[in-house]
Amino acid sequence: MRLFEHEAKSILREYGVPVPNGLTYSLGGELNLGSLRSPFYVKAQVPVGGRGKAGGILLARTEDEVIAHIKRISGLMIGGHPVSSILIEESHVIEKEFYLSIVVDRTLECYTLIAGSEGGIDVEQSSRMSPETILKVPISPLREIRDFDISAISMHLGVAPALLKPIVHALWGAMVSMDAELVEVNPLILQGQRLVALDSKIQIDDNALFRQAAISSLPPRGRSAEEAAAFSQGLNYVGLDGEIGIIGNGAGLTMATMDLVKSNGGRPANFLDLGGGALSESFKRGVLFLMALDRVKAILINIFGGITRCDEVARGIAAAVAEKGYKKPVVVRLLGTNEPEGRAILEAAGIGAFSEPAEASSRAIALAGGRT
Amino acid sequence: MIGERSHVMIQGITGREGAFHTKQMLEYGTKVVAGVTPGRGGASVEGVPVYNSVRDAVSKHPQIECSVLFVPPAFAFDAALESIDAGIRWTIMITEGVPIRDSMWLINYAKSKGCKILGPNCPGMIVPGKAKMGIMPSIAFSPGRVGLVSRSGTLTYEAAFTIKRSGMGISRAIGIGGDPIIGSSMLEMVQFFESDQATDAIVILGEIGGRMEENVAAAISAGQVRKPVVAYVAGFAAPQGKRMGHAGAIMDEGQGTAKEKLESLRSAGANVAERTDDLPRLIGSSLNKKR
Repeated sequence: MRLFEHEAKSILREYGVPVPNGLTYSLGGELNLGSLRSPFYVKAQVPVGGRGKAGGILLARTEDEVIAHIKRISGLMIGGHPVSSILIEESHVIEKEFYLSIVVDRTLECYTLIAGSEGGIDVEQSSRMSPETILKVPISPLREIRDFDISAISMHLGVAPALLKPIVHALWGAMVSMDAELVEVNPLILQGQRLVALDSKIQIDDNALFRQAAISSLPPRGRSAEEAAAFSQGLNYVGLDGEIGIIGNGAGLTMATMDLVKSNGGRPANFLDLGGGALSESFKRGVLFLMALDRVKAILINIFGGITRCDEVARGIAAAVAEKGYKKPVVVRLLGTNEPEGRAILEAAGIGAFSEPAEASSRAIALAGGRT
Repeated sequence: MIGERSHVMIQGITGREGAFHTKQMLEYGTKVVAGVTPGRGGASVEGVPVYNSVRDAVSKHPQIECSVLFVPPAFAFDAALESIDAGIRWTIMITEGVPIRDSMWLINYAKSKGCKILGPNCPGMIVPGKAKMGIMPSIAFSPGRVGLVSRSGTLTYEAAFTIKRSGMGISRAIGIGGDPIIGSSMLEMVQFFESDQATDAIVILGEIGGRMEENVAAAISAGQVRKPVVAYVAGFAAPQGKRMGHAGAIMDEGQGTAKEKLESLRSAGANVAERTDDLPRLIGSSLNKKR
């Protein structure tokens, strides 16, 4: 889960990283700049990057300008996301900009500390053009950050270890105790004898939300209204714009089913992975959820049962189709654990099951009105 | 490598999934000799004795080589740690939804102890006709000489079943798991198959994200894999995944799209399948070419 900038900054502040003075303005609320000093930055809060280029970050010198900027920014859609709130911060004089982050390194299977001597919005470009500006320090999850790690970064950035140490330890502390996949400050600026994090990104591991109560209680974000509705029903769902509703078990098979529909000339309406070991109730919920979407003309369910049992799948589908007011055709491909029981349940409900995914997908496309 | 002679322990054996799959594994011929559920010591599941701790199980059954975990995410860390600390060589983590911090720690710890983790979020391993240490549905697999390594459980069954119906079969199928950080990489398993006497051709089933497939492509290009490799990557129609701030770009993870992965495998000399039902034809033709 991607945190908004203001959420990330309040976490960093808690861990001891200096961030600009600021306040979070909720759309439609009262504006009270209080003791904030001009000039201000007015920053759109969206769960994606590229805000600056989309006009989501503006400088204001007076309160009137702040109000005008809020008006302009609050109507923006940035990367498909409406602006949820606005952060208003004191601006800072920048002497030197750095990049600093800790990330889960998939390749090395450890944490990696990344320090860039040229931070700011162009850090990706400078890392490509001048790789020597970037230092990567792998840190085993079995240990803590030590002074020699700090010293390496200090040499690379040309910043005194005493200044860096509390910042790096704070990022590390947040990374580990918050179950983050990424803690990034960019730019981290030097102002006199002080480092300040002007912007920050934190990404929390969704698998860890069960033990991150403070994070899991935050409002959902980065999802369309449809996806948020699916999420609230416990469905692992991504909306697309086609007409064939897709349900699979396991991300790989679900994606392969979408690929198959696409290569046969149909268009997937969604990705819905009910996962391993799903019970009948999830299948019922999934089918009913897709049925309720206007654009869905037919539903294709592709199940290869391993830990998922075909009888559970069939019971859920049969229960959904038996609901009052159920319409839309369902095409099922069923194979694997407890398959005969599953087939019998579907048969009793008047639903035929295919064993070939290609046949099932062609049938679903035909029922949805043919190739597009 | 573990196989049909390996003694297997089940952690979480009294749970719904644990008990169900213990039965399936026993019926398939797997030597399941012990189970563990804290507080349920002295019970038995399908005739398999249940112990309170891994230490108890290992003291009675010192030959245990592999533990298969059916434990919910919040308890998977402790269960895997118990297995590693008891010196069990392979810990197979079936559990889906384990926090990355936990799996990353465990993988590094296991390495330091000379132990292996398969998964998490994986279906385990099967040697068709002989034994399975996991949850694969037996119906999907027939014995043969194709080695299969996959990031997706259900896709493994799909591919194996297609191969079975074509008249070929599987020497061993290994589900490495779908999480960003996993204990056994695709490349390690490809290297195993390269040296495995029972395997003539290797099938890899990839997914969008990460660099596992690219790493296999690089090994093929470097001449480290001589056996024919056939690849399928799922996710052409999938929306692009989340991007990890600037760090993703700096780490050079690429976009990890299905297209990128398939292209890198193709240019390395692997045979790439656009659909899973195309796998048998490509395996057949790559084996013929080899002869």
